[in-house]
Amino acid sequence: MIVVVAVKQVLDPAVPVRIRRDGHGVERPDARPLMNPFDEIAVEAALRLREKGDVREVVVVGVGPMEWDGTLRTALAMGADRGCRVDAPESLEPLFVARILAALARREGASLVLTGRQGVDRDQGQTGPMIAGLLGWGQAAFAVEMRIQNDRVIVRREVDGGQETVNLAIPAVITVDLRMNTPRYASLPNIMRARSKPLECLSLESLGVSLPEDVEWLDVRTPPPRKPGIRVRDVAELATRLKALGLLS
Amino acid sequence: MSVLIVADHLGQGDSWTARLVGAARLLGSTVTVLVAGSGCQDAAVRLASLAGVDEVLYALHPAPVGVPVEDLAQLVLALAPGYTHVLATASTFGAELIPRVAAMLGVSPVTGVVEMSDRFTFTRPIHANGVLARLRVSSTPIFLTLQPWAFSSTGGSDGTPAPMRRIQDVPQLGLSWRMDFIPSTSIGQEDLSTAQVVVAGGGGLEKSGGFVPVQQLAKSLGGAVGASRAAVDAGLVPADLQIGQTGRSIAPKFYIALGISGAIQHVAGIKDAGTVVSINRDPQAPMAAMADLALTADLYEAVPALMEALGVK
Repeated sequence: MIVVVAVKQVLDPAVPVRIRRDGHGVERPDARPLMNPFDEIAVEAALRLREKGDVREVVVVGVGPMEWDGTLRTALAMGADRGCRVDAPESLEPLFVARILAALARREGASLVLTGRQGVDRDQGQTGPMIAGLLGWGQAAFAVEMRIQNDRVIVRREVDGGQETVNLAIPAVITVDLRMNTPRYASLPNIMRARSKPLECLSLESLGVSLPEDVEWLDVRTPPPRKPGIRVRDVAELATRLKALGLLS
Repeated sequence: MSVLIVADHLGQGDSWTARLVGAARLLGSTVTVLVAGSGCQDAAVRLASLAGVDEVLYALHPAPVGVPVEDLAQLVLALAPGYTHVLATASTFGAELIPRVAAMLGVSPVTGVVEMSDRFTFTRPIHANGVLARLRVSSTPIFLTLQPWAFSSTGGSDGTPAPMRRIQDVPQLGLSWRMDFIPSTSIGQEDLSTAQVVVAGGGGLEKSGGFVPVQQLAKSLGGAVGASRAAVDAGLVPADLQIGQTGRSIAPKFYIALGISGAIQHVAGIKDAGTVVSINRDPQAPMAAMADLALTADLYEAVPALMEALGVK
C-alpha cells in the first residue's frame, strides 16, 4: 500500500503578517519557511502506518516553486521514502492544487492520501475534500486517530457536537487535526540521508490539469485594531466596569 | 437568484440554519433548505416554519445518524445546478461537504465567509484571522460556507410554514459509514458559536484541576463555555469547545478568558468579540495585553468574588 502525503510550505505563522503596500497580498518579512504544521502531522501519521507494517511506501508531494524542496526534504528526513514536487507558483487556488494532487495520487497508485486539515496561511481547508471529490473516494476530515483494518481505514474525527468514528473504504483521503500525533524531529543523520533520497520534479504541463479562473482575490485589509485595554486593580473594579458595559442587561 | 441551503439538522443545526437563511435572504429571491437523513422529516417541519424559507426539500437515507458526506455530496451535486448559490455553515459539516461538491462541479468555493458585499463578492479571514480578504467569484452556482456568528437570522416564524417536498432518496455510494457518534457531554446550556456571553478556560486550569469556575461563571451569566487548545489537550473539555484558528470563531458581546495565555491561534477565534476580559495570574500573558479589561489574579479566588460582586450565582 502506498500513501501519498500532500504538504505545503508556509512562512512561520509566529511572525506577524502585514499587508503588502499594493494592498493585494500579505508578507511576512524575515519569517522562516516551514512545513505547514498540519501537514507535518500528516507526514508523521503516514510514517506510523508504515512502521506498523500497514503501508509499504510513503510518498510526499507538494505543488510549489523550487524553494519548497526544503520542506519536501524535511519530510524525507522525517522518514518519507521519496518526494515529488510539481513545479508551480505559490498561492494557487485549492481547486487547481487538488486537481494536481488527484492526478499525482492516481499516478502513484495511492491507497491513501493524507494531508493537513488546512494551511495555516489561507485557512481555507478545501484541498483535502476536493481531492476526494475529484477522485470519487471516501473522505474523513479532522481526523485525530487512524488505523488500517483489513481493507478499511477507521478514523476518529472531532466534529461539531462531539466525536465520531468513521469506517472508510480504501482508497480514501484523510485530513488530520492537531491531536492526531506529535511529529518527530528529523535527526541529523536522517537529514544527511534524506539528501540522497529521490525527489522528483514534474512540470504542470505534464499533468494536463486545467486552471480554474472563477475566483479573483480582490484585496486584503487588516481588521480594525482593538482599542487599548485597561488593567483593573481588583475584582470590585472589574465588576463595576462590567456592569457599566451592560454585562448583566 | 435562488439559494440552496444545506442544513445540518444535528447539534446546533437549527439556530445556525436560521442564520444561513438570514444571509441567503441578502443574496437571493428564493430560499430553499435541504435536509437529509433518516428521520429528517421532523427537522424539515421545524425548518419550514423559519421565517424567510420558501421551500424545504427533504431526502431520506438509511444511516441511523447523519449521512455519509460522500452520499450527501452526490445529492447536492444533482441539485446544485438549479441554484445561483449553495450555502452551508462553516462548521465541520459544511467544511467537509462544500469543497467536495464544488470540486466535483469544477468550481471554486469560498469557505468561512464573514461578510457579503454583493452576490459575487465575499470577505473571509486568512492568516489566523489576522487579515480579511475579499474575493469575487464568477462560477455558477457559487458555493459558500458561512460563519454562523457573522449573520443574523430573519427571526422567528412568519406564521405560514413553507411547503415541504420529499425528493429522491440520498444516493448510497457505500464509501464510508459512521460506526459511532459520541455527543459532547453538554457542559453549558448556550451554543458557543452564537452566545452573547462566553466564559472560556485555558491552560491555567490544567494544573489546579477542574473546569468548575468556568462553568459556574458561564451559568450565572447565562453564557456559553469555551476553551483554549491547552484545556482541550489536557482533557478538561471536549474538543468542540475549542476556540481559535482550528476551533471555532466566535463573536460574543462579552468574552471572559480565565487562565488563558492568549496564543495567536486562540486569539484568532475571538477577533470579533465585543468586550474581552482576561483573568490571569500572569500579568505578562498576551491575553492580558489584548484584553479590554485585564485582572491579574488567581482565578480560583477571583471568580467567586466576581460572582459575588456582580450579584449573580
